[in-house]
Amino acid sequence: MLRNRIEMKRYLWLLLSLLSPAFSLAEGPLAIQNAKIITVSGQTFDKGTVLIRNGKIEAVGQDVDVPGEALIIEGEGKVVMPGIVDAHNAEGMSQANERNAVVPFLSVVDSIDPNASYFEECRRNGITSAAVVPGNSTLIGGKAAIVKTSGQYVNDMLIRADSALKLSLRPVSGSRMSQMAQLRKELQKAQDALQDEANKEEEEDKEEAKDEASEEEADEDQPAESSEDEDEESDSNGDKAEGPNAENEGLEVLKLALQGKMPVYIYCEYAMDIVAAKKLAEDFGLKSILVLGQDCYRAADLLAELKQTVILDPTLVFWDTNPRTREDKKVVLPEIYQQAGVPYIFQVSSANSRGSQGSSYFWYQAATAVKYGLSEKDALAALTLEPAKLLSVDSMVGSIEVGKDADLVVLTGDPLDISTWVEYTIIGGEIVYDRAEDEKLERLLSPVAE
Amino acid sequence: MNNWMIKTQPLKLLLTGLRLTLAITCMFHCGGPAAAQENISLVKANQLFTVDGEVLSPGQVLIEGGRIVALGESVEAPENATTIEVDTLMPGIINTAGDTGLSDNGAEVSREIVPDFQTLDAIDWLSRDFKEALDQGVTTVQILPSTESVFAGFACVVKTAGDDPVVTDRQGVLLAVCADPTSRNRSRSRPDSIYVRQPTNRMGVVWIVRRTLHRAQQPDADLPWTADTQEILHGILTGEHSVLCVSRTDFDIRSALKLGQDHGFQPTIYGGDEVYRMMDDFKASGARLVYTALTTNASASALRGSEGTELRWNVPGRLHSSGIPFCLAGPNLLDQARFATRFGLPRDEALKAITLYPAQTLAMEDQLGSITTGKQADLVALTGDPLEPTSRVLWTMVGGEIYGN
Repeated sequence: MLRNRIEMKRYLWLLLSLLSPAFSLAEGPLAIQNAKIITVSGQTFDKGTVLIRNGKIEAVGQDVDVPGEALIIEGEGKVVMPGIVDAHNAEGMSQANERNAVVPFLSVVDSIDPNASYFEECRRNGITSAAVVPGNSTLIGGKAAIVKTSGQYVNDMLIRADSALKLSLRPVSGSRMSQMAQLRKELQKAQDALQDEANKEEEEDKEEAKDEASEEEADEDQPAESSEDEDEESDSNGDKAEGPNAENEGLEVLKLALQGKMPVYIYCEYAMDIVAAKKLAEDFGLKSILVLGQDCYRAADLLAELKQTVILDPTLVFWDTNPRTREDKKVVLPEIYQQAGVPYIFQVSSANSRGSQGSSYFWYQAATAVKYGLSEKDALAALTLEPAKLLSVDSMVGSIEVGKDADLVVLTGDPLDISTWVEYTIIGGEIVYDRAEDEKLERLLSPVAE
Repeated sequence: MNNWMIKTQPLKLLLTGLRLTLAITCMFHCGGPAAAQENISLVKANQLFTVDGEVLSPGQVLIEGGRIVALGESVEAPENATTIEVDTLMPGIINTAGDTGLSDNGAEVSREIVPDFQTLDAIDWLSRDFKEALDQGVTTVQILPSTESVFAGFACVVKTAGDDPVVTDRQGVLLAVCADPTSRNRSRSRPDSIYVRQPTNRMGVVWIVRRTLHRAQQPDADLPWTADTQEILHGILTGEHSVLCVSRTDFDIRSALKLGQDHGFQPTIYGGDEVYRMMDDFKASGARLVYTALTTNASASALRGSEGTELRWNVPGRLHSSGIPFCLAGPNLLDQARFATRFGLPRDEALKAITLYPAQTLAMEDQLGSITTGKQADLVALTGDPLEPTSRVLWTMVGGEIYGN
């Protein structure tokens, strides 16, 4: 009955939108009524309403006036939470890493495939925003992008292109020493370039000060400088077979990172890498986002000093044997980081990595943290608002607040229960996933001999 | 099987009343510490999943001499009983397809017919695997030989803790009716290589089973194996030894069932990934299934085999509704049961699939698999509903002794 109502309204909208091209589904108001609403940023309403208009959240709360023309999702017995934000994944594109290990000029935007099964899985599991980041098998892996998980073309999905740069401290080939040396060399180049620019500016400032009386001359400086730049670029074009401006473009990207204008993901495989990452960030003024390997828990105290949110390895619980004493230890990452006072968020393992069944789902990762002592409230924030803050997109997504993007998940029950499924995923006010129409899920759940 | 009977007989009698005299006998017999046998403990739980009966909430269970002696919403305990309070209690988990403690992968690469080999001989009792098993609430494991030989050897059954962990050294002979035994063999290689031998394809696997069992019926022939092997093969044909067949694709399962029919044995199928293609035929065969396809761990990739069968989520749910006797097996059994419910298996069935049903598979349901008076005191205490991912195992009790936190 209720579903019929939605269906009918949808057809109506479809009809209307066909009649008038300016009138699209996203523009009609949508309301989810009588549901338990977990806003994450504020209170949880046991029986509340979310009103969505023009892709944004217009109102949320106990008493919300729903306009007559609104499409209504009856949420009795359902739970609404903000869409999940995946802060670090290398899926959704054809190849996680380039063979060449130093490629700061590359962007994942050129590689994102909106039809990748990853995005379909995202919608099925309530992930509405995702940072697509070059993989860990690199040195300087290129630029990440933050996207919504639904769209026909990559441009429809983009929240922010060139959102961050990816570095990895795990050696691609050769030793850790050479990995670090090469990384420092590349960053130093950018540092020197910035220094040169600063010196030049300083000189210009001095000259400017000298010639303060004649403003016309100072104006003439500007075009002269830019033409100089062009000359340099055409020079390197002649030298390099790699393509137009690859090196210069790369240098520009690194400069942004060094100026703190572009955050830098640093993948740390071992605890020892934390020391190196910390020093890199200090020496070069990087705004770092640390992506941790399993072993990094040994540096939990050092991480606590950094006072920044870290991204945990997908395997949250594992066993470790001391090779010398043969002492066995069960390592529970959420517990260790919580006790050390390190704020953390989760990653999921990719579908083909053959991790444990649960580690490929965000809700399961959160449930695991709750199992070992994290509060359910904090666990849900670690799926939504915390990653949004880490990616600096929390003004748009990450919680159910008036004015934010209408990225919501309607669940059949409490988010961390084993039997809970995503009923609807809504991105920008549009229903992009409806379980009733998910034929693939139905097939997986009811295998038929073919 | 015989070993099992001998060991458990005195414990059974213990319950019938001759407690004092037999407790002493048992001490000598089992070699266990006196403390373990004399300990009386009362476990009180907010909810107690007996698994074969109703859920008791609250529920109490009295344990004496490593056995469950009383059960109910409220149980009268002697004064010297130690009382333990927990939130949730369920029976110990039984894994019928384990490699717990196997010091290598258990593969014999030099020959295809080694039914006389025993996994019991390859167990590292100090292995971390046992700690991990206890941590996950597993109290009993059947340890399978690797599937790289066609007649791969005897599976054994062990407890995950205690002074006398071996339940039986010869639970059954494992036959690999799947592609695994072909993985190393080559038809073209150096002629002196041990890998120049059959089978190199699946026809060869089935042919080896047939030929071997055929020759076992001809005692006078000049046999390429020892008298001991010959005796075991004979035991397969007479039904003395049960047969475990590792088969995952539908045609492998059909082959295994056919081999059983032709040679007069009823195999238990291990694997069963594609059983959903042949539900009716499988049901008609009357065979049991040990379903290992919910396993996704890299460490247990051997259980999924090389056939590349796709994971179908709700096969357990369909097995249940078809009435096929089955259990779940492999690593992370609590999680497997959780996902089985998520994908359509009723909750009470999911718990049975990791406790009572595997006990039935091992034909040990009179001793293990549920919280029932008279059975061994193998219990798992949890912080909440076993099927919720937020619930944690607090401790695991094996034979009345508590391990873990």
